[in-house]
Amino acid sequence: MLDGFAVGFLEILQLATLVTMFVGVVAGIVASAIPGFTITMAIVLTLPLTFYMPPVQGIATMLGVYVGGLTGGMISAALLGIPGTPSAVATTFDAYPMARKGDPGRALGIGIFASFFGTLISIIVLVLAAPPLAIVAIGLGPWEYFSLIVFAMTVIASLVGRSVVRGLIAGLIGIFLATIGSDPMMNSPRFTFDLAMLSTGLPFLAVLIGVYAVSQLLGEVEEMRSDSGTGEALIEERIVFRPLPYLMDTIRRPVNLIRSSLVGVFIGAVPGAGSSIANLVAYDQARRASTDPDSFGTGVPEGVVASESGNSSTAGGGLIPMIALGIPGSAVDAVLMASLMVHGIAVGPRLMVDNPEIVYSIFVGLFIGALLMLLITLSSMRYFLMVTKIPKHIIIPAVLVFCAVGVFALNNRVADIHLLFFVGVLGYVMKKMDYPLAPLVLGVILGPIAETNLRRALSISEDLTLFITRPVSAAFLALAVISLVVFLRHRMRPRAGVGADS
Amino acid sequence: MSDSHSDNASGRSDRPEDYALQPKAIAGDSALLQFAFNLLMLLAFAYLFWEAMALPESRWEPLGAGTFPRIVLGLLMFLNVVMIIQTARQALSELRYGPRALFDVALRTTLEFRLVFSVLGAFALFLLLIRPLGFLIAAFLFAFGVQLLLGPRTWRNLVISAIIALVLSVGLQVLFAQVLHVFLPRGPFS
Repeated sequence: MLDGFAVGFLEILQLATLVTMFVGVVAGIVASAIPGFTITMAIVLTLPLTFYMPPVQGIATMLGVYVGGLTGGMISAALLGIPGTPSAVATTFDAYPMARKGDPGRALGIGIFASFFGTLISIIVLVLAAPPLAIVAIGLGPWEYFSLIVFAMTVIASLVGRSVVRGLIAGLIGIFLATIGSDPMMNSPRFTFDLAMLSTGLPFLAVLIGVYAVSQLLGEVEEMRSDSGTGEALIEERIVFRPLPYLMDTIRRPVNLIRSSLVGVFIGAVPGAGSSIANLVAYDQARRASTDPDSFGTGVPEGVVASESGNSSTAGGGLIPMIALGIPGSAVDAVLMASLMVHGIAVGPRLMVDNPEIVYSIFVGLFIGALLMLLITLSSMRYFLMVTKIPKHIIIPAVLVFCAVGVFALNNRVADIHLLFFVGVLGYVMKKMDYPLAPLVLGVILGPIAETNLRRALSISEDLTLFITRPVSAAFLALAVISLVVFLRHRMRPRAGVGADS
Repeated sequence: MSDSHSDNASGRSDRPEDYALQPKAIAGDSALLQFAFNLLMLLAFAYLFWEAMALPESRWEPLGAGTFPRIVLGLLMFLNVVMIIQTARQALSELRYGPRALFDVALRTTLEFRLVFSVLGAFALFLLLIRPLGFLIAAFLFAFGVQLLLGPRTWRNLVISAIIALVLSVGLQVLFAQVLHVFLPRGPFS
């Protein structure tokens, strides 16, 4: 294990990698500081740029964007009272009042350190949990794998959005979209309708950018009528920054820090649930555990610590199932998986055995990303505030252009750009009709894995009962049924949906 | 959001359905629209299912190319039927408002979303023009046009928009060519 880390550090600590990671962290902070632009969108748009890097550098850069993004949402949350991303919603509850009371530096400082320690704790759990889990997972046969994916998809579908059935429909649409193109075993074309555009299938990147960037931007256009932007609630005072006291402020609350981080790790590891849920749950848990729950919401440091460590720790959590099982914990992890797949690296339990250098580089990359985030935010937080002032009428067309370029960069095909349009419209319509998009994206990535395993299982033996007589497979299927039943019952009582993407 | 349409066509003033006449509510809230959407999906998936029946079987394995898509499409059809049954009653009650009121809602929704449709149209045009005009010109026109569409109509914005569009289109082309060796479509003019 130690030499694994040595390899990881050697891979990451190269000038080119550090430079692109630095840029990635800055880009992540900037992107998520802008209200309406999510972390997923930032990562999706980074993906095409990383095709041209070696795999380790590419994934390290995206981890930088991820870690930066999980922190950046806090800037506008604390100073403007507007969450920069859905994962910073709970941060507005206490960081904003604290800033309003005249201590914006403290709100940001505590948030930064809480994010840093949250990421750190999540890395520790990741390093401890992923390798043993992968060893167990290697023993899984195609039956177990298929059942595991069925279970993962039901959890994803049930957790996000407001209706379990719509979640399932979205997930299945994703799985269906992935069947377009040639089939994974026989290479016979499916659903291509003799269109050249579809002959190689839907490029995963077009789906990602269409669903997460284009449809999201269209949603932003829609909001442009109602509010003319930010700025009114801006804190004009000079932000005073005293790192050491803020560090003490944060680590003097170890129970809160560790509890919130573990909440984040756990929620991050559950497929489909991510930072947008974790920050709310962590905040809620901290309030319940507090001796003075009524003070929450008035600008107490506990609230900031809980929310920011809760969302940042999902980074490590989401990577656990991705590294150990090849099942992404969130849309962001799906993008990371896609970037490895572009380089021809198969992601699954064998990743640990076949490409240990990649796995250790991910561990180290996450750590270095967190360090860079700390350095960058502490030294230049003030400047990031300026990006929240860039008007949307400039950002929207610019990012749309970038979407087109990004999709083109994968295969150098103009047809892919045209596909992007249709996927973007599909994503937008589904979002308007209240269908969650995260299950769709995870369906696209998990569908082919499910099909391959199902067909492999039946080629070994045509006996369908093996799915329920092999104990592990049966357990996963039972869990799938249980989770559906539980969620269907739970959701009978209507309640506000939690954020759909991270 | 406040201007709810009070004189509904059928003259009924029942409480539960009046949100149907508020086009500002999320589209997902209208049962009729949901009903239509699910019906449309059901038809589409049924067609694709029929299409999947023609996919080849395999001699080497029990499942051919078509079985898995048929399972997925079958489930999709089933779930859409579930949704249709769930929303049918409400959808019918929304229908009682009569065609005029519904048309009104549709019209107002369209007006509400006209900016989205305009941007979407511009985006489609941009994507279609990348090949014939080249990336540089198409991206410039798109970025410039949409900034003017969404931003304030002032001389200052006109100038800023032009500069940003220029930097964006030239910048991306150069960045991708120089750093990543991706050559964006050049078109006939360069």
